[in-house]
Amino acid sequence: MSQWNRRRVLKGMLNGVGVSVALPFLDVFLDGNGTALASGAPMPVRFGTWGYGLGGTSGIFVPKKTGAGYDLPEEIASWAPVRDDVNLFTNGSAFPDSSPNRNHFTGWVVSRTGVAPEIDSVPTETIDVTVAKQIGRATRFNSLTATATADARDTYSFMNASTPNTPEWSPLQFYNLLFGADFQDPNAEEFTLDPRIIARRSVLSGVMEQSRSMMKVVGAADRERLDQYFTGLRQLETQFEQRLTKPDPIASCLPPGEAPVNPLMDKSADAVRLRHQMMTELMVMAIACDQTRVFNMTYSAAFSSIIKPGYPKPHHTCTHEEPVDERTGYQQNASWFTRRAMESWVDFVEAFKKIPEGDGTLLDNVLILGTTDVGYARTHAIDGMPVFLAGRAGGKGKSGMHIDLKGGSVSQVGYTALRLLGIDKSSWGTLSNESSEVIHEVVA
Amino acid sequence: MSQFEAANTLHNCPLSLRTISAAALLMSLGSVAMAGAPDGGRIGYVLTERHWALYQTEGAREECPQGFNIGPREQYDELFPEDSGVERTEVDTRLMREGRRFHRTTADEDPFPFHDAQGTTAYGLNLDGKVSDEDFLSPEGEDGIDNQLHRAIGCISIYRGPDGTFYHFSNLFMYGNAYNRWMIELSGVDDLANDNEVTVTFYRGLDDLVTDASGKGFVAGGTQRVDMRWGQSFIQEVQGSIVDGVLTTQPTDRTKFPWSFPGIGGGFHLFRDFQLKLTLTPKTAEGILAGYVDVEQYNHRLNRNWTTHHQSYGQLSAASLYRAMKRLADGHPDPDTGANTAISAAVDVIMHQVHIVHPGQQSAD
Amino acid sequence: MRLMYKRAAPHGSSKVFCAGVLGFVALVMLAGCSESDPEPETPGTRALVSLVTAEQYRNSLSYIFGPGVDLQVEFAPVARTEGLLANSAAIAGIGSSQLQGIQGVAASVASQVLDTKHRNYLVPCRPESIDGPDEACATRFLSRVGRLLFRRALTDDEVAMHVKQAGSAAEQLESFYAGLEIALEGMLISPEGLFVVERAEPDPENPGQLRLDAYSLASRLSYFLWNSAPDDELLAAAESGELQASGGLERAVDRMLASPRLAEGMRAFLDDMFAFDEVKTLTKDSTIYPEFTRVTAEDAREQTLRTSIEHLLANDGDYRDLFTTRSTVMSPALAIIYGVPAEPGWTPHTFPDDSPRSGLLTQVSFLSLHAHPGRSSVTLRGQALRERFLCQTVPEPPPGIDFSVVSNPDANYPTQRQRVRAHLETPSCAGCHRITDPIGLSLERFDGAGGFRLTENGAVIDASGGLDGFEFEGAVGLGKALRENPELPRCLVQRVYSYGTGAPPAMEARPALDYFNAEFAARGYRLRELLRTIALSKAFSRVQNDPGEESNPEYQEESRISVASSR
Repeated sequence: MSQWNRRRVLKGMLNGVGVSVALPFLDVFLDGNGTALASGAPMPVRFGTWGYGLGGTSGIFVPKKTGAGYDLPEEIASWAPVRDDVNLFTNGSAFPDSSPNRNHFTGWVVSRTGVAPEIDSVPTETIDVTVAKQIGRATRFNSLTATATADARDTYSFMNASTPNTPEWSPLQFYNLLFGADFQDPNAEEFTLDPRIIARRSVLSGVMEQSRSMMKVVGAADRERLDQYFTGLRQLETQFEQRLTKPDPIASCLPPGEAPVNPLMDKSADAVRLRHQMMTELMVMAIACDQTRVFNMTYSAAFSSIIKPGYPKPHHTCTHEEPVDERTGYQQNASWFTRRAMESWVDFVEAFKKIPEGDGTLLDNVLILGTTDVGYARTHAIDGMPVFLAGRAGGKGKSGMHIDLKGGSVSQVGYTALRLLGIDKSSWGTLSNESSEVIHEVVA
Repeated sequence: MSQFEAANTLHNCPLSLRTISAAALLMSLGSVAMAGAPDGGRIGYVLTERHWALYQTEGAREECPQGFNIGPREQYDELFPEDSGVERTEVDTRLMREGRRFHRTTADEDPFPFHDAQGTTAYGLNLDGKVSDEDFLSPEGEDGIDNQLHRAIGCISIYRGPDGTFYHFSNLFMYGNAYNRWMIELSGVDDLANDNEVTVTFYRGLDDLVTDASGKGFVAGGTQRVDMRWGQSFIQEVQGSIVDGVLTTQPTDRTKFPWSFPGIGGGFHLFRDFQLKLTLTPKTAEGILAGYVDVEQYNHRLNRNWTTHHQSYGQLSAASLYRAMKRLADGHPDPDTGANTAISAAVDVIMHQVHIVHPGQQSAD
Repeated sequence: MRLMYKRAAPHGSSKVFCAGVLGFVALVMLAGCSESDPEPETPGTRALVSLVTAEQYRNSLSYIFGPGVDLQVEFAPVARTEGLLANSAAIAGIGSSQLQGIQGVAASVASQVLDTKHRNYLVPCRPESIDGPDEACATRFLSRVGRLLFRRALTDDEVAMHVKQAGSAAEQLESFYAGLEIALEGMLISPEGLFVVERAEPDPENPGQLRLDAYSLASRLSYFLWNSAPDDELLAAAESGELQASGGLERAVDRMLASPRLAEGMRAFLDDMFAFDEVKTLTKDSTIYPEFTRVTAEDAREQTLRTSIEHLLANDGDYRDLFTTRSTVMSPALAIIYGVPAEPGWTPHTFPDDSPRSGLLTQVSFLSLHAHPGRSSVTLRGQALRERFLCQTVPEPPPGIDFSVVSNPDANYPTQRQRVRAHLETPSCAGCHRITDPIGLSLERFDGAGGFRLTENGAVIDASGGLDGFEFEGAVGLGKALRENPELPRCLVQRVYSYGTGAPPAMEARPALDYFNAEFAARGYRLRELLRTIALSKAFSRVQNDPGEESNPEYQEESRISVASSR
């Protein structure tokens, strides 16, 4: 804090603006049965996505058994500790309809929007944005997006074609964003009000006024862009509001004590896994601390450039060029990359499971949609695609099922997710990817 | 000329180039191919790793059966036990001990037993051309190896790799600090594998070393400017020969070899009969530097660079070591007293190929 | 001889024909175009609303507040459109998380500007009392900064609004400077600063036509040439009418072209054209290329930019010679890859005549960027040459292909030439690979890190290659062939015009591009001359639309009707 800030705060406090509130002990936060906040509000349900590139090899990826207690073929053998927390949907399709199959793009875009893209841009907002509009407004961030790839371009979340939700890629920067100077610890003993925030909030209304007048002098498409910027201003306003209000204490919110040291920013699989773990840990704690209720994590881009040290080609090139091993019947190195991705998916799910919440874990109150861009990596096919759904959406969902989509659209899973989150839509997606039926096996 | 014409001219031109065979290209691009002779018969190497050469066995069973030597703290505790009830002054205790580091003496006997390294094996070179009783056998079986410093420091844990603090930090300060940059340049080389007459020049360098992508290893191909701040005092030319890829140089009378702690100027060792035995490749030179190390200069350097505090990290008692070195010294007797002034020693080194830029020369040349 | 030259497509990039047999397409002759030809009439470009880039924001702030203010600005990356990131500025939006980031930057900048260290020289007056508002002093500071930030003089109402905000914050916080800081923070996140809104006005010299108004023209020029908001002098020229008065534009453009800031501006352009944003994430497998570090990657980018700026601006060289020049600069990290000595810092370096290196294609930036982490890539290099320097588009491989046909299961094929032969022998691949692989094969004596080699896996590398009908040996031959390729300067012209006007050229810009091409050729392919020709052209300042009009609901209704009726 600069001298000026300190002086200002002190002055503010002398003037009676600063407020200090002693907070109660943690065990009185919850109601008697531990399923709701003391205020009587139920635990919020949160939604997130997880994305990786280049599918897998169905013969060693798709379980033989459907329903509960499914078997774990070698490519997903690492799932054992989380199998019962994850619904695995296999044999899904992304139907291009009259649009061309955009390599590495159509697959995940249909999984996340229900719409096949005509060109190389996302045709409409991704599912996380739809959800954030419903449940994201109340928190400091209406959504958080991160990537393990150290590349700020690797995101699967888009407001619209030209506005990606840029991922956080540096653990240190992510920490500073979440738990740096602007973080209000809900369990802090004292709540200090920063008088500057009040001043900032009133300046913000002036900026909003400028935006409104600017919208009057631009064309329709640009007005949309300004409107989006305006949404950002409103979110800033929400943040300022929150910093003027004492937050409710949250028992499971235990923010990291110190900033992480950034690890190597290279693309080797080990480095990606480590960054993924670091970003995940920060993300999950931000969710536990109710800084956001919507989140996105990229493990690898569709054109995954992860490296296996000593092997000359990155993951994507490998899927194209590696011969199928005659003995095992699959591409050994390509499968090596898929297995690394699956291990990180397990890391991700487990991170939620480690946080106690109410009488269960955070995982009980989230729903995570995991998607990829292709089915069989070697041919980049957009049939035979897997989709994952982890968590139990506050008790509305069932987990631990393997569902054969039988060639149906992957958008069914997205639609089911929306419905489990209580978002009332009669259908989702367009043309062959339009879905209006929930997959009832995963509804509690 | 229309663009068509230009295009046609160009089209014809490279056809002649295509007739050049790949073999011819190999010849014409000798600087890259590095088949036999280095470019211009010249190749430089810069020091990237450096440790006193010690022959170590598992658990030091062979060389230190009696255990390791004790250091300043242990010696102090023995000399001035805390529970003795004696009242002492700073001058008589700490300052007296500290003074011993700088006013070294062998006049009185070391009150502590000193453990020399035992056994018959050590790294090094046969410096005097003789095979005598105190000489060692090299691990490869060569006899007459002179390395009495091995006896002196082999059982002082600070010198032992890979965890001894001197072993680790002395090397770290070498590669991390351009002050310690040392390099050799071979000239007149017709063949890097065999050449019975090459010239080797020693230089100090000015620049940082280049690390690899991991940040831990070093790569060949860097550039070093010759450090002329010490005039010719560190620059020296000797003759050598290369046999089956191994360079051996003629001994020098005296060679100053930089070896300093960061921020402490002037640190060096003075070697007599300094020789190199290095296995050469176009990218690296690995092996041994050997010679008789001047004992006074060794201890002067040691005590100026390493405080008692730091020496204590690895039980190095400078006063005891001095006595041991004087006792074990085996070369260059003082003409007046007849006492040996230098001790045979060897240094393990790894060097990486480097482009050496001489004073007044542009790197772009 | 099979030629693959195509007429430069008038819009954006052209797709290279990937059919197995290419029709003969005539080379476009520029005969008949001479220096004296006047600029043809074209309808101009569209007036745009562009999001400033992080670099532009940073450059503008450092112009306003000086180099002492630390600016850690990162904006969301935008997609590359028709070869340039700059073409996306007019469609890019700001997401909520990005705005949060910008707010953080604004707060940091404002607090630095008004801290005790800076305010004495950044605030042009002293308040009556530092414990509360001072209208006069706040007005002087905020109107000056606002003008530079928003690239126009503020109206009295606007100034009053900002001063009022500073005043009430000063009262609340009992500090004049704290109040000013809060008001400045607001200005720094204002849409007026972040978006560049181009406005149109009737062109008095061409009745019925629209041109950019003076402020919009000033901004377009300044972002084009300096990658920054207009400076005080340019704004003054816009404000006074001097910019659009007779000879005013020439005076402004010549001043900007003579300024050292031109180099910064052109670095930004070249960085964009060469797709050097990719360098940020370029890594190599450290077990295969241990000598290639992050420093190497950044230095490689810097080397190419310095080589280009030195050649194009400092030496006023022929653009085409960039692909054959042996002059460059060297850094110690790069020297390791090049196998040459280099002293600390950047030093001039000339590759000898017998060196395999000449021109940008043989620099580590091009060679390493367009390769795999652990090996070279003939396809990526060929594709990059076509897309970056010839403005052509090489399509992605079609989906659903079984790629194993190109991955020869016999790993004993030692060289790339043998491995990629399958591309050319498989009909579904050959179409495209025939236009990329022969280019890349001539660069095969450079490994994935850009280092020179004569052999791969013990086999001697055959570096014969081809480009659009020319056959040659090795990279030097490729550079010469590219230098003579008529698409090379045309592509630069297209990129420069597109960069300057913020969008890929539309079909109707074709005559203007032909004119620029002819002028560029007539003036010896000098970049500064090209910039001048474009900046002074009607095609640069004329616009087709008035965004203000378009925002009028009636207008929109009308245009909808006219579109509907024209169907």
